Amino acid sequence: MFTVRGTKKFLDRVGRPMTEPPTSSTVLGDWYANVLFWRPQVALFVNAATFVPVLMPLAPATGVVSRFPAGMAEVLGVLGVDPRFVEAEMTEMKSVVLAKTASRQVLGVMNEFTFMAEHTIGAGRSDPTDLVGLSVWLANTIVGPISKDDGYTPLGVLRRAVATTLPDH
Amino acid sequence: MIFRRTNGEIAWSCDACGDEGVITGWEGSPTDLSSVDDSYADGAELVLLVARELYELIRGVLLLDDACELLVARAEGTASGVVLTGSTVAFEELVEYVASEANAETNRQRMRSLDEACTALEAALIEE
Repeated sequence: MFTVRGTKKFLDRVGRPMTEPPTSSTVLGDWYANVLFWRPQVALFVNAATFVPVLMPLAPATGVVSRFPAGMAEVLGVLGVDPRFVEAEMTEMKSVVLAKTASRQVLGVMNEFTFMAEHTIGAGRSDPTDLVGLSVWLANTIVGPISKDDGYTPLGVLRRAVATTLPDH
Repeated sequence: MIFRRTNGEIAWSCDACGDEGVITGWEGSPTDLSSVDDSYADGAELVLLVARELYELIRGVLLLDDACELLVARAEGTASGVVLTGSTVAFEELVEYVASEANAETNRQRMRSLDEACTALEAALIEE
């Protein structure tokens, strides 16, 4: 089981939140989600533990959270994450709970990702239809709250999480 | 009080201190937000009264989208604080921008103030 913590914009389109959600059983924990009003609209998921971003088409909005594990697996695969780790996460993501956002830090990071993605698209450096490519690019950008030990990037934090879970990795 | 004259000039006067003046030549300047479109930020309209210090902090946030910029620019000062009017989505986005600025802030005191601003805005949104 995992929890998706959505902004009001996201929850208005996807479903009602639970007041006191249970703790996610995955290694990566909760994911935050927001809606980007691009054409077509896009869902931005950001992992609360690593700040790894996953961009996906929003439509159909009611099914976006059930499609999310597959989207996450694709991005983690391109990022070079051990398939055993991805599979273990997918196994634990059979059911999902919606909740309200609870971390201002993650909200801020989602906002930074939105700005950076729109800037790189606006500058003609990224293809807005290549959401996996954009997610991977964002995972390699410097994010304010990430420490030097993790290389300041979500990918650095993710690699540490994988190495801790799979010591033989 | 603000009155817009037909010739484009804006006459204003302050109820609190009695000061007054006329603003001219604002059209086409960086502070001219008349063509900014915030229609994408839907949701019910909210009216929030915030402390003047909180408003000054929000006004100092460097990066805002159109809806948030209009939200801040439309603020009205009163004797008991500053009144912000906008859609729920615009307010929610304002929290995100303030949080983003807090993440990037290296001055700990300002970071703490920005965190407190997020808390205050979120609390006000929940109350509404």
